[in-house]
Amino acid sequence: MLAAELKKITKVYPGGIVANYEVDFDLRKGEVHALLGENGAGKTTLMKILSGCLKPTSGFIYVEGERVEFRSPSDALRKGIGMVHQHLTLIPTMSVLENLRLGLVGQRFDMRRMLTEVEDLSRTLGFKVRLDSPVYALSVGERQRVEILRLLLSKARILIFDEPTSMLCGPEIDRFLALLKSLSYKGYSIVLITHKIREAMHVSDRITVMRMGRVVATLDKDEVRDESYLVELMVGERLVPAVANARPSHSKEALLTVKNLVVNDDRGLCKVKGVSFELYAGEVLGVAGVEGNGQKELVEAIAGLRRPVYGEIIFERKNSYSGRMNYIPAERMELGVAPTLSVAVNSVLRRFDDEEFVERGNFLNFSKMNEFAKRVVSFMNVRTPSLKTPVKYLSGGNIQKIIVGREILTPSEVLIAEQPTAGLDAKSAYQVRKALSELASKGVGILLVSSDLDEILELSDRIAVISDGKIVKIFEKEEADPVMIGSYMLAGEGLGHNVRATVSTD
Amino acid sequence: MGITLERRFLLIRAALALSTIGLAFFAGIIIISSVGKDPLQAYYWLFQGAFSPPAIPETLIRATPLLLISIGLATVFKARIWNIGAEGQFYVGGMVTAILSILLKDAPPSLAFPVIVLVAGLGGALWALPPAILKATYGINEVITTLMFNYVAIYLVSYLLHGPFRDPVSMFPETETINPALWAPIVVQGTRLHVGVLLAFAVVVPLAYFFLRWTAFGLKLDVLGSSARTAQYANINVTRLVIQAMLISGFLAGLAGGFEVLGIQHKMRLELSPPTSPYGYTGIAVALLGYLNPLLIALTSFFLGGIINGSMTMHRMAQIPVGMAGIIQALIIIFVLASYFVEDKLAKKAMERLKLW
Repeated sequence: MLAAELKKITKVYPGGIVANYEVDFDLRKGEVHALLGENGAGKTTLMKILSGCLKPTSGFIYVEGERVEFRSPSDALRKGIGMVHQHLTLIPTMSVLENLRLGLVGQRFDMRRMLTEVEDLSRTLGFKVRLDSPVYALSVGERQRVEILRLLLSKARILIFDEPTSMLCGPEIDRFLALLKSLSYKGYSIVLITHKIREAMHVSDRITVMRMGRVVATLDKDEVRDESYLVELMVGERLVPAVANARPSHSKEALLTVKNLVVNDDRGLCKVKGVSFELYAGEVLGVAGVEGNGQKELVEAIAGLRRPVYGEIIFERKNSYSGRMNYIPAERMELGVAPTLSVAVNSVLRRFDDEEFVERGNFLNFSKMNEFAKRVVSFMNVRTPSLKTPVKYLSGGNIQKIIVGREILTPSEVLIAEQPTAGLDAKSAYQVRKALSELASKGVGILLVSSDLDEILELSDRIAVISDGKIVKIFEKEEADPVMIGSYMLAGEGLGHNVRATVSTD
Repeated sequence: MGITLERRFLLIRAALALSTIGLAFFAGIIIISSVGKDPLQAYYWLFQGAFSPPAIPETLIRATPLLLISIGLATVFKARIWNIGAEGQFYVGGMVTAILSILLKDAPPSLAFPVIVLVAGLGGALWALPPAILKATYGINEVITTLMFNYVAIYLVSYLLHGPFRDPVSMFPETETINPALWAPIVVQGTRLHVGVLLAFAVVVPLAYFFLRWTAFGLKLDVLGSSARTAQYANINVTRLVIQAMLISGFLAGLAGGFEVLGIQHKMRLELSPPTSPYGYTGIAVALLGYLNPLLIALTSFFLGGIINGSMTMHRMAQIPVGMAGIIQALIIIFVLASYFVEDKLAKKAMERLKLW
C-alpha cells in the first residue's frame, strides 16, 4: 500500500531552472525511504512539492490513492504530510510548549489533551522534552525532536526530513537515525533527504537516487551491493573531458601556502581540523569532498572572510598588477553581488581600490567600468536590459554569470573557484571550464572546490580529497580514479557507531 | 518599447514620490475635517505661509538646517546606517558655537568666524563618534545609541543654559546674544538670508552630489547598504567606512546648528529646533523623500521647510494646531516607506515584461 505517490512531476523555477523533470516517486507505508543525490539534484524541490511548500509546474500528487492538490503546507498537513526543514522553523525565544501550540493553529485547542498527547508520544518514542524551557536553550538535536513532536501532534503520518543530520554531531546522529527507525516501526512513513550515502544505507528500506532533476534509480536496500555503486549513480557516468587539458606541467613555485589551518564555523564547531597544502603557479588543485566537510570554512578563511583559529595562510603577491586573489563564492546571492546596484558596479565589485577604475584613489572612471562590464556581459552571455539595471532584477542564472565572469576576467594570481559552474547552463559551464583551464596555462594558480566530481577530474592537475575537515589524500592527475576518490570522500563521514533502533515493547 | 528601462524606473519613482505627498495631504483633509475645520482654507494658509513669494526667504531659512542635516543623513542612510542622532548633533553644534563665540568675542571676526563654523561641525562629528565606534567595532545598534545620545545632548545643553552659560539678564534659559561682528553675514539685504543658506544650497548640495555619486567612497556606501557581507567580500574596510560616514553625518548636523546660532538666533536657546518638527527628526523624512539624492533633497528640504512655516501661518489664520504639520510629515514618512516597497514590485513587473529568460 502506498502512503503517497508523485507522478510526472516537473518544476520549473521562474528564471528557467528546471529543478525536477517528469519525476516519479512513491512512498510505502511504514518505510524509511532515502532520497539521495548531490546538492542541486532536485531532492528538496521534490519534497517541497509533496509537502505543499511549492506548486509543481505539472504532474500529479496522490495521497493514499487519492489525487490531491496542495495550496499551502497546512493543506498538506491536513492530509497527514509534514516536513522538517533543513533550517528549523521554531521560534527561539518562545518555550517548547508555546512552539508546539503554534503548530496547531486552526484547530480547536485543548491544553489538557495536548499535554497528554505530548506525554504519550514522548514516552512511546523514548525521548524527554522540557516543555517550559525556551527553544534557544535546547541543542539542535532537541529542537529537531520538538519539530517532530509538532508534526505528530498535527496527526502527520508522512514525515519528510531535509538533510536532518547536517546540523548534528556524532552521537546525536546515531540517536536521530534510531528515532527514524522506531517511527517507521510505528507505522509512520518517512522520507529522508540526504547526500550522505552511509546514512541512507544504514537506516532506509529503499533508496531513490536523483541527479540533475531526474530520478536515476529506486532500489531496495538489498539490491545495493556496495556504496561506490551509489556514488556512481549520484554523480553520473564519467564523460570524456570536454576541455582539452593539455597544459605544460605546472611549476613547483608555491603561490599559496596553507599550514596547519584550523577553522571554526559560525556556531564555534571545528570544521577545518589542521589542513596543509601548497597551490602552485599554473595548476588547478581540485578539492573533492561531500558537502559540509569543511570546504566552505576552508575557502572563507583563505579568502579572508573568516578568522582561522590556528595556522598560517601565506599568499605572496608576486606581481603588483595581477597580484590579487580572486574568489568565486558558492553563496552567490548573499556574498557575490550587491543586489540593489547595477550590473556595471557589480562587474567591478572587488576593485574599488584598483587604479584602472578609481583614479587618484577616489574618482570613479565610469567609462572604464562600463567597458569592463561589457566584457563580462558578452563573455558570459549575460542577459540584461542594460548595464545600469540593478542585478536583483535579473534571473539567478544571469547573476551567477556576472560573478563568475567578473572573477575570471579580472587579472589574478590565485583564483578560488567554489562550485564555479553550479546553476549554469551547459554552454556557459563549458565556457567557464575552458576559461579556467586557460587561466591555469597562463600561470594562475586555481583552487577548484566543487561537488561535481566530473568537473574536478576534468580540470584538476592534482586532487585533494577533504573529509571531516582534513585532507585525507592528494592524488596526482594520473592516479586519480573516481571510485578511489569516492571511497576517500566517505572515509571520515562520521558514522562510527552502529545504529540500533530503539523499539519500545508495548 | 518606446522608452528605456532606466527611464521607466525613473517615471515609476517620480510618480510614486508625488502620490506619496498627495496621499499625505489627502489624509490631512480627512483629519482637518474631522476636527470641524475647513481643509481648503487650512491648505490655502499653509501654502500662503510656505510658498507665496514673500514667504520664500523664510522658507529657505527653514530649509537650510534641514538640508544640511538630511544630506548628512543621506550619506549614512545609503549604507543603511540609521543615524537617528542628528538632533543631538545639531544641538551640540549650536552649543559649541555659542560658547566659542562668547570666548572669542574680541578676536578679529574674519579669523574667528570660519574657526567657529568649523568647530561647530567638529562638535557634531564628535557627538556622532561614540555611537559610530560602538556600531563599527561591536555591532551595537546605532538606532538606539544615537537616539539616546540625543537626550544626553539636549539635557546637557539644558544644564549649560540653565547654569554656567545662562544670560543673567534674560528671563529664559539662553546664552547672551553673541557679538554682532560674528553673526553670519546677510547675503540678500532686507531678508534674513545669511551666508549659511548660500553655502548649503550652492556649495554643499553639488559637492555632496558629486561625492556620493562619482567617488569610490560613495560607491562603497552603496555596496555596504546593499549587503553587509558583500561589502566584506568586496574588500571594503567596513569599520573605517562606518566611522567615516557617521563623522560626515555628524559634521553636517553640527554645521547646521552652528549656522542656526550664527545666522538666525544669534544666541543658543533651548528651542533651537522648532518643538513640533525638530530639524534632526524631520531631516529623516527629508532624506527619505529625496531618495537620498542631494539634488532631490534640496527640493524636499525646501518643501518641508515650507510646511513648517506654513503650519504656523495656518495656525494663526485658521486656528489649526501646528501639530498638523507634524501629522503630515509623519504620514509622508509612512507613505515613502510604503512606496519603496511598491516601487520594487512595479520595477519587477517592468522587468518581467521584457521576458529575458
